Amino acid sequence: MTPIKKRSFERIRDIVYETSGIALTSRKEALVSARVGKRMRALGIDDFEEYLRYLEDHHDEEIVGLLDAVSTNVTSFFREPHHFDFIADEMNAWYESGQRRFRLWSAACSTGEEPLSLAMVVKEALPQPDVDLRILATDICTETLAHCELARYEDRKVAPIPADLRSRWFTSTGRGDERVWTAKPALTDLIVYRRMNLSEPPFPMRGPLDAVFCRNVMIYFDDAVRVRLLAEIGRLLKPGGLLFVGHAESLAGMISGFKYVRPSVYRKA
Amino acid sequence: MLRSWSLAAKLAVGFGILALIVVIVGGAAFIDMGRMQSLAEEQSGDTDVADNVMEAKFEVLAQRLLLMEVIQTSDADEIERLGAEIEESFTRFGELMSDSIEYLKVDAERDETAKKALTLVEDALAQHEEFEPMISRAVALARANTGDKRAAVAAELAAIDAEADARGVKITADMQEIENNTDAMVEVAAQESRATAERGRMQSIILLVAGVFASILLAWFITRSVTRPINRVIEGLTAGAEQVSSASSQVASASQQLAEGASEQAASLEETSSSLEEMSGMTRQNADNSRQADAMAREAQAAAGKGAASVAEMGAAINAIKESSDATAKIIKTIDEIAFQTNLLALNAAVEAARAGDAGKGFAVVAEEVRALAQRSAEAAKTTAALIEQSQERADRGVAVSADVHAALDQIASSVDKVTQLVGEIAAASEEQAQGIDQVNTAVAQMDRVTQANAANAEESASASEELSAQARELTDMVSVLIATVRGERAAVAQTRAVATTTSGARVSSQVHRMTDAVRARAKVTDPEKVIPLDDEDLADF
Repeated sequence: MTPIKKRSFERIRDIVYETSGIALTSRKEALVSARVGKRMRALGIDDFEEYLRYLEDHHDEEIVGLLDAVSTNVTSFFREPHHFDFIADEMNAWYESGQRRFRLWSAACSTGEEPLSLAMVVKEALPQPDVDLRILATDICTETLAHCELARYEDRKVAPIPADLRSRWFTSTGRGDERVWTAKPALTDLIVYRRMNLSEPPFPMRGPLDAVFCRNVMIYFDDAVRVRLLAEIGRLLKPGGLLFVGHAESLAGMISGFKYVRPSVYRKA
Repeated sequence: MLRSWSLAAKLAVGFGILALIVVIVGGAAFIDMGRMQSLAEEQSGDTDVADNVMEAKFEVLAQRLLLMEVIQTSDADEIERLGAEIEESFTRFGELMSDSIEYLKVDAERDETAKKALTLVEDALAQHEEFEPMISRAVALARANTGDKRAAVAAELAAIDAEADARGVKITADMQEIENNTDAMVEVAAQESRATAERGRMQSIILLVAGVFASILLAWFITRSVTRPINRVIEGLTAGAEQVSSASSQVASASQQLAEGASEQAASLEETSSSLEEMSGMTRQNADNSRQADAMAREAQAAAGKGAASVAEMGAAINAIKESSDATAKIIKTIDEIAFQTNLLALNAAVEAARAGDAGKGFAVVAEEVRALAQRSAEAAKTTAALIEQSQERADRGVAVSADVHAALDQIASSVDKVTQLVGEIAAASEEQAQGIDQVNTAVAQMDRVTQANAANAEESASASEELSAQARELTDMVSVLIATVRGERAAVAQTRAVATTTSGARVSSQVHRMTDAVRARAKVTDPEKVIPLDDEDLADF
């Protein structure tokens, strides 16, 4: 495969920013080369210029493929466990105060570990039958969403789930390294998966939402996109609703309407 | 030695030998046929001789009969006709005998019976040579003495007839012997012919059996010498194909795993890199903020110093005020004394006015007014004195307070100094941290680049090894075609099955792989609407 030219990189960078808000710095040339290269191999294209021409000709179909390739999907079950402890306590408090309808949003769900962790935690914290819980899980990447729908995970992926929860909410097939775990319908039925581009508000939800998990997403955006996204999350959250962000992410300078609760946790004023 | 021969040489030699066998078998049959033919010819020749001799014998008999007729008739024409017939018979006899002699002469060289027959025939011919003139003489005699003259020669004719008869009987008997002899020759030839045919048949059977046996042996030998090395090659190829197939599927699955691991790692690193950039931004902001705080603290320190100076000045001013108050207090005392004196003077004036009576009435009023004024002055002086005393106390307190403020400001100044120092340190630390994070970020970006390249390479090698695996499968197919050619269809099917089991045993591609394949297959459908329908009632719930 021919190496990527600076001009091609810049063109791809601009297209990716315009369509997804993902801001690729000049340092990401290797990343673009590797990830778009993989996509090109799948299409049988050898040259980035040629790929750009292909993208121009098939914009509506291929833009999804490009964003699938460029988006970063890192996640794990119970990532940042204290977030889950915190939401469980909050949900309990809301239940005590009489709330029964709970709507949560995992804004960038990747391969589905986050919404499944949320579902498990909330079902464990609020096992009462009158709890009306739904979780919306969205991502820009169709490939990972297809994975979400399967809800099947390799043995090593489910390792962070406590053993009792795992046996309660998952079924497994195969042995040893081949063992595969599948989330039970009791869990997956709570979750609605959708493709969503976080850089293009307004989103089709009405709200109010109780909590939004938008973790390790804004690191890929620039400030303009972040401000738009936070404003939209602010619109959707109920007063007192929670916003969870990644630990490297700071809302400093752009948190109008949010109150700092603890590192990476904010509450809508 | 044979092993070093080429397949073409082996086949050529094999078929050459076969051709040779065919030539030998055919040649032997050909020779036998020739011999049979010559025997048959001989037999037919012998038969011809026998026939000739028999015919010649009949000719002799005919000649005797004709002679009898010649003797019995006296008609000249009849004698002429019979004489011609006799001549013809002589010619035929001569021809028959010379034919037989000619034939028997050839045969006599190798055949004792023929030799004997030849002698007999020659003998018979010789006798006939004597017999013939007798007949001719009798005919001539008869021809010369026709009609009435016959009686004259009748005795002579009868004598000739008797002699000719005796000679004819002898010739006929000899001829009969020749006939018997030639019959024996025919029989001998027939026997020989049968024997030759028998021998030929036996020879043909033996040669055919030997030829067939040799052909089978040769075919077995050539087949063996061809198929043995091919079978070895097949075994080698099968084993090789199995190994390549299993190894390549292992390589394919390993590089698939490697590729998955590498892209997972790359994704993880990409997140780390982006997080670090974010943190780098935050730290830089911290450094900026602490720099601002540092500047502000410095300003505050300056302000505190200025405040302390002002407070000192204020203390001085308050002291000056206090001094002025002291002076004023003294003046007030003087005023009070003046008021007291004025009051006394007003009292004296009132006394003097009373003494003056009516004339002093007006004066008394004035004195009373002066006294009131003096009292008011005294009261005012007293109030003023109290106020001044208060002022003095307050000034004292002001001095004390300003001393406190001074002390506090001094403390603030020293605290701000410390704060400035700390903020400066924070700013410097943040700066260092930002630089450190930048360095880490550079390193991570470098790692990111390498990892991305690794991931891409792993992907490429995965697809290459998949290609390799496909080629190994093709090789296996070709081997089974070879097996089908050499050992037959059934062997090929069994072999293919065996290869399939060994390769499936080596295949590591797990359920997970199939799963990721499924995911990949779905991802090819890049229309998100097909993966996730975007507008439905579920979303209205949020």
